[in-house]
Amino acid sequence: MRVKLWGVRGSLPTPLSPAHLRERIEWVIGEFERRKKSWQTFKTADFVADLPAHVSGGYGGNTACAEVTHAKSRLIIDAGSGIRAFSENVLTTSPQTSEFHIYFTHFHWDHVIGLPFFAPIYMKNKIVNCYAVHDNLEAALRTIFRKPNFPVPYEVVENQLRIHRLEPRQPAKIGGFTLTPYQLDHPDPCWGARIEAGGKSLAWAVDTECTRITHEELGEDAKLYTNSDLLVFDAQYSFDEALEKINWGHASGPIGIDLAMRESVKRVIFMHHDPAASDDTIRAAEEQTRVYYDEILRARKQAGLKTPELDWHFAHEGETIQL
Amino acid sequence: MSLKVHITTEGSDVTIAFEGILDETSRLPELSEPVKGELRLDLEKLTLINSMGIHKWITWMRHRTNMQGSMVLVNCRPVVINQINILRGFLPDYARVDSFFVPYSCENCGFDEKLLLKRGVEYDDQRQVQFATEKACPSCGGVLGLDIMHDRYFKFMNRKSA
Ligand SMILES: [Zn+2]
Ligand SMILES: [Zn+2]
Ligand SMILES: [Zn+2]
Repeated sequence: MRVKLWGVRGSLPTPLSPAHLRERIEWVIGEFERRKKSWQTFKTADFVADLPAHVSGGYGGNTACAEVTHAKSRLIIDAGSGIRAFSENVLTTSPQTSEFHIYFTHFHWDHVIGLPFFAPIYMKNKIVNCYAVHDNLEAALRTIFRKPNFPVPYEVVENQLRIHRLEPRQPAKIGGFTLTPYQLDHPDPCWGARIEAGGKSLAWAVDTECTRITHEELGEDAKLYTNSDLLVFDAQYSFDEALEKINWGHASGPIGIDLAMRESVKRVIFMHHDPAASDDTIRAAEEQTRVYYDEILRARKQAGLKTPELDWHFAHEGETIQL
Repeated sequence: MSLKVHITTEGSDVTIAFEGILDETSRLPELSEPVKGELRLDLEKLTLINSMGIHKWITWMRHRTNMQGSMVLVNCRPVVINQINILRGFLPDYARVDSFFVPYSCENCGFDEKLLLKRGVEYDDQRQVQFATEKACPSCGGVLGLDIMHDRYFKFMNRKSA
């Protein structure tokens, strides 16, 4: 299984502003001048390769969209603004693809805003299957294509769309995948999913505050997480911000680390980065999570508890994770 | 090991001593009456705190403790101080640390011990800390040094509440 993240920002697409870009260029040039002096043989390529990832690339500004592939099957999770780049890519690299599958976790704008820019929905020879647990899936899609908010009416895309309602906590076959929706702790409500194929499992838990915090409180929904190969989790806030934003529906890195350790998850990717956070701020939240992770491992060892080592990082737009 | 809680009252002051692990499964005590004097949280026997436990802790501090007087944390072990430094929420602005341990260890023989620093004795409100950072190892006579990253460990003292 392969997961490509086309959008990792939360709530609102967040392009790098000209002022930030300028600031960053100034910082990089300053760093370049400083290091150039101290290096014996200086190569620009080495310098660029050595820059921190959040400086050379940034975390990315497009909202939630992931492409999950396994053998010949492909599944899209959410149609945030990241789906536009996916659309362009898929029509160039595999123009013959006639059928698509999109699973919607919920219909907050950041998860649907890209749908009108997903070109296959306008192509008569394509079929776009839309899946969600919500009863109002079709109504929610119609809302996106309504004047005066969008000029193309739903009727233009209707023939290409197939609406599928999924049962909560019941496995459904989508192409070569088995997808089981589990409820997250987020308003209106939001359904994460456990996606399985080829013996690997992906737990999608973005847009969750994790207010049901113990295994027991999660009840049936704990199955979303347990023993998954990859957990994609919500870290919109730093831990301290999350304490101030109770009931905002989002979590933080340290909470995801604890959850993953308890549920024997192998790997975690954190996303849904706050649109109000700069790359430096997100980097600081990632660093806080790093220090927390090191400390909790140390403390657990000292207390004679298991020390489950995790592979984890904060997501960057465009990255691919191979399971 | 789940969290154990021992509550003792002395006049209008209340001490709650915690023992074990503070995590998402911990049950924090409900106080039947508001604490009019000082609420002392004794953390000497806390062996581990995770972020979910801190989440519970902060909600409990906000809503359950019925605060009217002051709140102090005492006998904070390194596991507590480390988490205060990493995840700020563990020590809210209205609480302060009145005593905490610093760990020492001997590089030569591995001997270790902890020293309790007390507000008004080894440190004060001006964030001045005075104590021996090195001493003789009682086991081998070598040097017993601080087993912490100094700047990182005392970082919490720069906070308004510390
Ligand atoms: Zn969202
Ligand atoms: Zn949402
Ligand atoms: Zn010694």
